[in-house]
Amino acid sequence: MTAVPLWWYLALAAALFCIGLYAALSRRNMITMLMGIVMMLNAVIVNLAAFWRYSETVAISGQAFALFVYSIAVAELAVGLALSVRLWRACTTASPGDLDSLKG
Amino acid sequence: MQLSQILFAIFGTLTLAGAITATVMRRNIFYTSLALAISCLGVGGLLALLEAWAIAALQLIVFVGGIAALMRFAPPPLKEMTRPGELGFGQQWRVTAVIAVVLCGVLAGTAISHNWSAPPANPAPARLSGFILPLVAAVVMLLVALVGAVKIVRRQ
Repeated sequence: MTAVPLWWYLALAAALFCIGLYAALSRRNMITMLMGIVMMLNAVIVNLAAFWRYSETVAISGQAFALFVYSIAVAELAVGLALSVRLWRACTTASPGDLDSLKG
Repeated sequence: MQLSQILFAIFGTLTLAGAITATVMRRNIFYTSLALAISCLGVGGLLALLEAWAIAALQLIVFVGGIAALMRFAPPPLKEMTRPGELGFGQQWRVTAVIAVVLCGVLAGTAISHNWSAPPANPAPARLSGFILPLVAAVVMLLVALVGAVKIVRRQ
C-alpha cells in the first residue's frame, strides 16, 4: 500500500476528470454527455478515497462524501435520462444543440 | 516493482483505456457503455487498492451493475437516440481537447509538485454514525429524483 505515492492517484484522477470533461463538452448526444459526467464523478470519488487513505483515516468524512457523490450521481443520471427520452419523443433529437427555439 | 504498484498500473490502465474508448467511439452505444463499464471497474479496483471497501462495493453495484448495464441493455427510446449517426462530435471539439489537456496538465502538475506525507499503516474501520442525518437527506433526495424521473418519462 505505501509503495504507491499519493500523487499517482491524483494524477490518474486528473486525467480521468479531463477525459470526462472532453466527453461532456464535445459530444453531440445527451447520453454520451452523461457518460462524460459519470467519468468526472468517478475521478472525484478516486480523489476523495485517496485523500482519506493518505490522511488520518479515523476521520471518515472522505468516504461519507463519496457516498453523497454516489447518491447525487444516480439522481442526476435518472433525471438526465428521463429528460433525454422526453425530449426525443417531443423533438426527435438527442442533441442539446438542436434545442434553440428560445434563441433570439 | 511492488505488487501494489503493479495492481495500480493494471487498474489505472483499465480505467483510462476504458474512458478514452468510451469518449472517442462513435460506432455503437453498446460498445461505448461497455467501455464505460470497464473504466468503472478499474476505478473499483483502485478503490479496493485504497482499502475503501464500502465505496469499492458501491462502485461496482451502482456504476458497473446499474448505470452501465442500463445503457447496454437500453430500452427502445435510448436505442433510437444512440444510433451511429447520432453519436458524433460537435464543432468545438478541437478547442475542448486543448482545454482538457491544459487542465489535466495543471491538475497533474500541482499533484506531482507537492510533497505529500506517507499514509498511516492501517486504516480505521468506517463508522458513519456522525453522518446519519445527511445520509437520510440524500436518500430522500434520491427517492424524489427517481419518482420525478418516472413521472417525466411516463406517457400521458
